[in-house]
Amino acid sequence: MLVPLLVVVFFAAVAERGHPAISKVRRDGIIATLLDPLSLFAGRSPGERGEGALLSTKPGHGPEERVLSTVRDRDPAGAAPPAGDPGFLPDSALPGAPPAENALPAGGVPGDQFAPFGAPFSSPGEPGGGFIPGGGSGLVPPLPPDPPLTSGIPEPATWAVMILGFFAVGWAMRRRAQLRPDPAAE
Amino acid sequence: MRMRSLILVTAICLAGILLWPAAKEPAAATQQTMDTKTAARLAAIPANAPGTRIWYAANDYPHLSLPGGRQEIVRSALNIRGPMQFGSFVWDEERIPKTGSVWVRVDLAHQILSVFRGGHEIGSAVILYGTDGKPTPTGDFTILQKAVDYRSRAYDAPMPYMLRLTDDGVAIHGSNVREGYATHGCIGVPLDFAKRLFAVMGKGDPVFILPNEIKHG
Repeated sequence: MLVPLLVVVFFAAVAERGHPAISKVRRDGIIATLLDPLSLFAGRSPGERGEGALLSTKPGHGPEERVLSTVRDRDPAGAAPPAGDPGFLPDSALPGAPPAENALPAGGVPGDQFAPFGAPFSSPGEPGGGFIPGGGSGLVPPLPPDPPLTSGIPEPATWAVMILGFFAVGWAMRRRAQLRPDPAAE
Repeated sequence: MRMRSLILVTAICLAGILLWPAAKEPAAATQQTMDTKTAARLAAIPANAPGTRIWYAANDYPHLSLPGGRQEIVRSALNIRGPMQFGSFVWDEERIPKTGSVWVRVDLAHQILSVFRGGHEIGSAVILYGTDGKPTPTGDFTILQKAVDYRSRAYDAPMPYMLRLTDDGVAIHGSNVREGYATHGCIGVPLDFAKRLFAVMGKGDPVFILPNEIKHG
């Protein structure tokens, strides 16, 4: 049991003795770094300012005003494109670009090529409707169904579990009351 | 056979332990051959009043690179151990000459400000600065105007001990420095600190504001 410990101690001793140059450089480096003004500044700093909303120091009218950043990296989730936005248009749909061979539906007219996505789609089966990149059969695939709208109110399952929990608590209380000896009986 | 090897290993370990002091000896010797620069710095430490100031050796003053290509030497710096709290500051001009050029270094990334006189750091405080929407400008500035009781027209807010840096209203002034707060571009310092800063700084004194990103490497 003692032997492994002794081995470790021995190698520690050897390592200490084996590389005095390394330890010297390291020690000098540490001292130089500790005394560097920049490291002194960093050491006394409360740290970098965190992300998130910051409150204003200026006295606002009413509750304290928030200084919100104007920088927004991304759109809020699920944001709809602004009205009138044609959405995605492939290069071939741009005016002046040579029409792609397979981009035009079989019975389509050239003018249809520039129809934006917002334009009403032709019903499936009708040849030469709206523009579908890479199409060619004239068949328009049905639009994917809209994702179901979720409300902010807890879902029925959540409610059910919570009410079930209340029943459980009530049952436990009743049971305890039954088990307790009746003080009036004594 | 097994027993013999066990004894051998134990013997080697015992020899190592016995040689331990001998192993320590060369390390101690290398400390004496430390280069003179570091030795001078080390020698400077015990001369300090306990925990108040780090004096740099006269032949080895560190330089601070500042915006605008300026280099300033640091003769001594405040020895503040550990991070400062919001709203706290350190001011110590004892044993520091009353004359000498005064300049201020504002480090937005570290949220601290340091004021130097004649190369000696005499004060340091945690600051508030502008948000991303109303950022504090960076670079080198000079004090354009001083006012004890200034009132901002743009924000209808008091700005005690205001030291104006830009024409469009960025200034260093007294503020309630708390965590989670930000200014509209000014640099907010604790009121008592602002008072002292106001007393030592004059019109035309430089203020260097470093950006709020820490440069790595």
